[in-house]
Amino acid sequence: MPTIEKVYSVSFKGIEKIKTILSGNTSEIRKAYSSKTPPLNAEDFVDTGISCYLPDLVFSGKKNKAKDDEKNTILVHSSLKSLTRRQAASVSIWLWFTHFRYWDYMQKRWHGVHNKNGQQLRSYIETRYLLFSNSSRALFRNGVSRLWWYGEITFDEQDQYLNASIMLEKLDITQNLVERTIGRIPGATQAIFSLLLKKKKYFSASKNLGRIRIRQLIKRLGWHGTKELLDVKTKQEIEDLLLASE
Amino acid sequence: MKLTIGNHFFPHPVLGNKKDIDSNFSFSLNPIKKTEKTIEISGAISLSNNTIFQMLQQNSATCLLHIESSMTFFRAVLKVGKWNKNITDFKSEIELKHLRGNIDLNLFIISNVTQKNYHPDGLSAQYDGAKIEISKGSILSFAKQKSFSLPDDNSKGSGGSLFILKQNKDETLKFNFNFNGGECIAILVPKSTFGRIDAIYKSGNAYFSGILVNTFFLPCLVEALRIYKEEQAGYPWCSKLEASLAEQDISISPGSDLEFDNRMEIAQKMLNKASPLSDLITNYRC
Repeated sequence: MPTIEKVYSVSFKGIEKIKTILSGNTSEIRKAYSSKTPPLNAEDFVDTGISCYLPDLVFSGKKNKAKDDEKNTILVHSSLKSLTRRQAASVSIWLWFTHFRYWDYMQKRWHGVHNKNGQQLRSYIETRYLLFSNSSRALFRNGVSRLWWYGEITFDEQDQYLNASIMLEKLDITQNLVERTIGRIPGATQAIFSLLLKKKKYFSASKNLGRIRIRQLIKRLGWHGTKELLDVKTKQEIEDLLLASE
Repeated sequence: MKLTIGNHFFPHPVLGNKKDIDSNFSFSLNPIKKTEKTIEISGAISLSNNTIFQMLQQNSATCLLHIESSMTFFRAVLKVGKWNKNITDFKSEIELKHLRGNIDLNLFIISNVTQKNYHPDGLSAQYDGAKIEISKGSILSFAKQKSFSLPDDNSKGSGGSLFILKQNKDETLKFNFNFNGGECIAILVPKSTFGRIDAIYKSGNAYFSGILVNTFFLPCLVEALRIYKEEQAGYPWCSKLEASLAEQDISISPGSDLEFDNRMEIAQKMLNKASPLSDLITNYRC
């Protein structure tokens, strides 16, 4: 029987605790981030007022982590659907997940702490456990926030998480869409997903051909965006534009 | 990557792009009204190009306000209408739950028709004799982007600082301010000093923190008040400053002179108050 849990965010004091750990030397940082005990505890948290069922996340141990990421995207986003985008863009809420609630998952999924040293180790932790900058790009790098945001930008009332599956299948699509202006236009991303699904065989061509075709498709979309405001176009209109310029 | 419009290669001349068309298309922004759940964005738009203005009057073109919160991937487009001569107002209410951090506003005029021979007033001589075609959806004009910043719900430790302390790459300058950096005013200090300031801050020693405030934050805040008051530059950090002034019942409206002595007095009052500006300072990010 799933139990409802409170969701917390990390207080200023908690953030200071993390900063202190990261100001230590390699072995101190590694020790803290490979310990079974999370570095933060109840006194470092602030109640967000959000309560929900928080599932255990999947870690199969397979080399290709795309399937795990896909499952976890659905798990995290569907359980935290009540989170607003304003809340989900906050650093402190994701620190609670990475440094406490999903501490076990983080250690298994993001195990790079064991083979990195010095600044490389710090950057790795800042990227995967914290949010390395105040930009939206960082939200797609943090080990847990990325799962929620993948779900959020791909969710479609009709097809639910079908687009998340398409996006996470290839890292190329994820990076090209998430880190470009074009990926912020819902109609444009929906049109891309629709074409990738309709012409699955074409875009999954062997060797590098499929990747090149996906890149070309996104480039064509970018080219249309230089002369027209794609925000005012529907998914179908953008899809037609892309097909016409093929 | 948020939407950015700058000098750009359009396949047709665009008002606002390089020197394609000699006319003006701009907008001003009123102070943002914030309630518990919404914000109201309003302002006025002016356009000095007759050809494009007539297209708007005939519904052959549409003026659109593009609102973007890059942190939350939120984008909205608002149709702006009812032009009175060459000026119009706009107003939009947006739920706060969609927004965080910097909000960027871009204004466009797009064509609703296809035209085989588009030659607007003020077209640069470099287009003489060229057959210019525009299609439905083509961008005809864009105005200079404006931005503002929404303070976080809980500024403590979540990037709510008005200031950001950075290492100055130019070692010949002892220290400097950068007011163009975005939602925070950057205080640039030499590399050697940077570490010491951080250590003082972390020590929590009130005596040394006082020196820190007088040395770095006070002169910076005095200059920030001048910029806010006189230049109306609309830097994103201005809304944080505005919020702090309002919280402390200090009333100064932008756009006129404020003597140095007055700015010093206001800055000191703000720095001496317990909240919220002291939070904005003591939680400065390094």
